[in-house]
Amino acid sequence: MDNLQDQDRNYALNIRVGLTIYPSQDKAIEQALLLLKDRCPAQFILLADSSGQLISIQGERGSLDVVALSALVAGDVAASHEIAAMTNQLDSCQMVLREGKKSSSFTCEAGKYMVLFVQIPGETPLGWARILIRETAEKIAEIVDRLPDPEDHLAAGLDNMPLDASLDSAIDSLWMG
Amino acid sequence: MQINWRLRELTLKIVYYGPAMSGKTTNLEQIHSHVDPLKRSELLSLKTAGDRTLFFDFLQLELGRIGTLTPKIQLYTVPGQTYYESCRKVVLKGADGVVFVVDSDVNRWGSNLESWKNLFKHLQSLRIPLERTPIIVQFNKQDLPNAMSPEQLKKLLNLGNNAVVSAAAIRGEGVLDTFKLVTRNVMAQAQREMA
Repeated sequence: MDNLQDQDRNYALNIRVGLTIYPSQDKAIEQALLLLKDRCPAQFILLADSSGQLISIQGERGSLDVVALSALVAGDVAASHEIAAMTNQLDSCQMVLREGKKSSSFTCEAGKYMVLFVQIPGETPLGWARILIRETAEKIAEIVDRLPDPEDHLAAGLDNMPLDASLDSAIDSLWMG
Repeated sequence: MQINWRLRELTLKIVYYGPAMSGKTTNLEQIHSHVDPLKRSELLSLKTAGDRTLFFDFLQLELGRIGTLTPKIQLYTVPGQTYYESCRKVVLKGADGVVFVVDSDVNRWGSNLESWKNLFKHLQSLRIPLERTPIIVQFNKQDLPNAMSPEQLKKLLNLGNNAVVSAAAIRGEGVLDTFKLVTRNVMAQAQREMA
């Protein structure tokens, strides 16, 4: 078991991102977001990694382009982080509020590698939402920081070489000429 | 790089970097217009009123299943104008690969050099490991009458082992070659890191 954990730890360190999400972590993240959605209540929640890659959503997305929104949220948080650094306000779990009449939204960091966007109805008390969002952000950061379950290791098939020579034809097939 | 083992998705980030007006956005526009709409996102552009990139352009492509994973490639551009330095740094964060777009116009050599140095400064400050980050150099605007030759540009930028591609992005020439090369290199690096 220790050996397996060491391997996982080394594996995580060798991947320079970032962010590797195992099935058990994915499930725990989904539960945390669902709980936030119900307790807040939130209309829509999006979790992305800090470079703008979508991880998970909860709530009604409608026609929302969640891929683009992930990139924008990550850019927003990163810009806010830079502003805080430049003005000597940098702290962990930076949070930005966008207050509107019909709805408001929070964007915040969830640990080192993720960003959280939460849209709430206008009538939801902002202070209440803020506390829950911060709690959830911290919980998600903990989930990703902890070591994967042994079953995750098997499910991931880490000893398989996942990519092969079909890459070129995959790229060619994108191109319509 | 983000790996989601439950969904078997591998997401990689490639940033098109270079001086102002070198053709970074044009590269993404060409890719956007030539790729099957079912396999790409919409092109997101944050522009000023003067149609210049303010923060970034963004486009995501889905390659379909390769081996046991489904790779998604995210393409970003940075704003080239010198005063958007902080924005460039923010966009570079988490990059798995970079395309440096050179403006081959002989009058722009100073801007190219400044941007090239600036790229490395940011990569270092973000602790992005240079030896594990593919950087492809695209010599764009080779169709201009006063374009510097690839050999001259290589010397000017003191390029070592970086792969280079000649292009005229406005006509679509060299755009796919550049994209293929950077994607292949980034995927190979990802594979090495996962092995």
